Amino acid sequence: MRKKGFALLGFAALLFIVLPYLFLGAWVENSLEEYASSVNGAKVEIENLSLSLLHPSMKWSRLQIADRENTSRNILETGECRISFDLLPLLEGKFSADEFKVRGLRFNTSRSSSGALTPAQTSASSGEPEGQSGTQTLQPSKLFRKINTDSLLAEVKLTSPEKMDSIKQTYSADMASLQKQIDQLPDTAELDSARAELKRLRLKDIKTLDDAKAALDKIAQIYAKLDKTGDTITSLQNEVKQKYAELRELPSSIRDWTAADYQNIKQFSGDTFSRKSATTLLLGPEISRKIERTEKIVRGVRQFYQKYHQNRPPKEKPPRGAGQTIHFSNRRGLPTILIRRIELSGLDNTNREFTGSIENLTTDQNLVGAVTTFLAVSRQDADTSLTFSAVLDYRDLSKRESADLIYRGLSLKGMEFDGGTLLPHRFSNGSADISAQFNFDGEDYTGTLDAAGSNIEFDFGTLDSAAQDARRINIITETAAAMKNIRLHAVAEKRGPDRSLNITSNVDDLIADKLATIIGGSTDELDQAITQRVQSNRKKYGAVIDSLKSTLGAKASAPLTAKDADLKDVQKLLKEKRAQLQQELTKKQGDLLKNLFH
Amino acid sequence: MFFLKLLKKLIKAIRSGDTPGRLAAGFIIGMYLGLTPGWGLIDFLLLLILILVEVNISMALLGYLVFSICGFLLDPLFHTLGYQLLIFRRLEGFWTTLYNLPLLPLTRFNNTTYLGSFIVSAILAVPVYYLTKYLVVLYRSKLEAHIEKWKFVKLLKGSKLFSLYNSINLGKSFK
Repeated sequence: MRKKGFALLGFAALLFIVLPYLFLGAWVENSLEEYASSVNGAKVEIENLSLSLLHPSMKWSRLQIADRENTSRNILETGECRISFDLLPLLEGKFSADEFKVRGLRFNTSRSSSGALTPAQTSASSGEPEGQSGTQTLQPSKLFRKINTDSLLAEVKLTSPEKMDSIKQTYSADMASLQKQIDQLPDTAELDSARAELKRLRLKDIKTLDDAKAALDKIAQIYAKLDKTGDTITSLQNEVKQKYAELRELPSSIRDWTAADYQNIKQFSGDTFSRKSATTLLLGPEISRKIERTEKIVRGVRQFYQKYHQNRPPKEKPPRGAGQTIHFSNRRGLPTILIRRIELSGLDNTNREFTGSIENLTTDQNLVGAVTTFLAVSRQDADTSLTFSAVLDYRDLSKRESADLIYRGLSLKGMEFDGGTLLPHRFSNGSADISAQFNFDGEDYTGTLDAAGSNIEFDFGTLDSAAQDARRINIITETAAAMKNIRLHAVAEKRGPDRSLNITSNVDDLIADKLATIIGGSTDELDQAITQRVQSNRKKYGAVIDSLKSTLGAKASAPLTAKDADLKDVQKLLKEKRAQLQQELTKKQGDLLKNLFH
Repeated sequence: MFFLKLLKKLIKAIRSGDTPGRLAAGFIIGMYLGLTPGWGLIDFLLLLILILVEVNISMALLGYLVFSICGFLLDPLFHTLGYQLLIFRRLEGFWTTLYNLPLLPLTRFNNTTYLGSFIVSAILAVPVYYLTKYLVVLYRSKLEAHIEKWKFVKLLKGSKLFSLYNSINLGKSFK
């Protein structure tokens, strides 16, 4: 044994007792600030932390947690806080405290210096995509657009132009087919040749019966050929007649199509100012963002809790010398972290005093045998109160969280909101009762929100009159003035992969009715313009039909009539020639019989 | 000068100053402290042993120096070994029991790199102990005279630095 060694150890032990009083507080303060800042993504600052190991306790005079989304403000800050903990569990790497008093708790406070850690981290946090709620966003510009026939026609899908185009295409294809068939008919030269051939068949040249028979055969051949051509011409003429009949019917069809289009235009213009989903469009994205934020918080809490409960954590790539610490389940003794009760007091968002408590904040509820609960109550008077309560239940591997918020008599005066361009952005008067409940169960959740606002008045000073036209200002003013009492009920659900958000509110009807009344004044003018446009279209389409008719007449009907007349002329000649030949043949037969008996 | 002093003490100890057992014990303590990252309960206990028990501190420092470099180089291997052992299903009960025992978590056994380097240190401890002992005995009996003849050693002994060191240390001249 070394005597010097014992002396050295004695000296070290002395330092171990003395140094904490000198430096441990500062060291713990720095370590806590560093760790918490890295978790928060923005500065976490603790002021005047002091640590006592004789009566194991820690206290500080101020704690600021900067908002990483807005580093000029704090998410929360506290006044003096004191926590008494057990020393022995610290030797086992565990933290156990019976009571933690948090005084002067305030939210969303301003900072004297920036809470940003580094520019890179700031850009990473501000780079988060917004509005990924998947809900439709309102485009109020549509509501305020100057309504005219051109703009409506530009938005409404009219059926008649498409139908007219289709008719034109069909008829041009038909015309091409007819033209081809007409071109294949025997031309004038061919008919003239048949005529000449018939003329060449002279009766005086027929001497014998065989000559007569040959001439008749020739006539029969020409006859057959002409008959076939005649049938084709008749068939084509029938086809042309049918096309004509169809074209004659078209104007009445066009009247029906344009009438249908007229109805569509009217309906669209009506829809433009009678949407029934104004509240969903106005508030949906904001509510979705709130739900996403709540989900994110719940996920963070669960991850923290799971860290101490997962059996097979994925392999990480720690820096050299750091390794990866794997936690195992606690079977007995204390959980890694346990604070049995946190007492809270401070000011809420509206600077009203509140008190609250958190019980059984722990990393292992099974070991403690209790769930973690939150309760915060703020009461100004008999009519105004805010109660928030939440339960985190992670016992038996279940993951359930529930939260309730009841706000009675919330003053809306001066409260700002995102009303898009449809409403002013600030209330000048009014109050609201709000009650919200959220239940997470595993990966699913259900959330409900009920709000009732009364005596609501808007601050029209928030409207930028210079940037908006008089018509728009008129619509906004009258719509906002109609909203004295608002009722709203929202239900958000997630079941498996399906998410839904349904919002019902009297605001929908209020906006729709008001807009319909306001814009209604324009409808007569609109009707007139649309009627003129429809009549003009009818005339235009009528001209198209007439053009088709004349094309049909010029390219099909007239040539067919000419061919038919020519053909009939030849056929007439043929009949005459055949009759003459038959007479000649009869005569020749009679002469032959006479000669036979004489 | 610290390293020269350390070297002097080391050579002196190896030559005749300490028993081979104490030298070997100091070396494996240094080896353990060098291989394992950070400070766990076992590291503190070994440090106490080093301070209180008469094992050779110079050899411990030498072992720490050599195996710190080895530990740094072999860190990924230790991490993989420790991770595989800690997530091995059949050992889960054992680790959980250790985790729930008083003070045991302070050994940092549930850290992958620490566990991996601990296992390797434990495996190496006995062979390294006997090997060190054997080498010390071998040095004293056979190698010392041979090494004294090495040009490097002669050069070192004849160097100005060595003379200066000896003059500063006055009577405690290096043999």
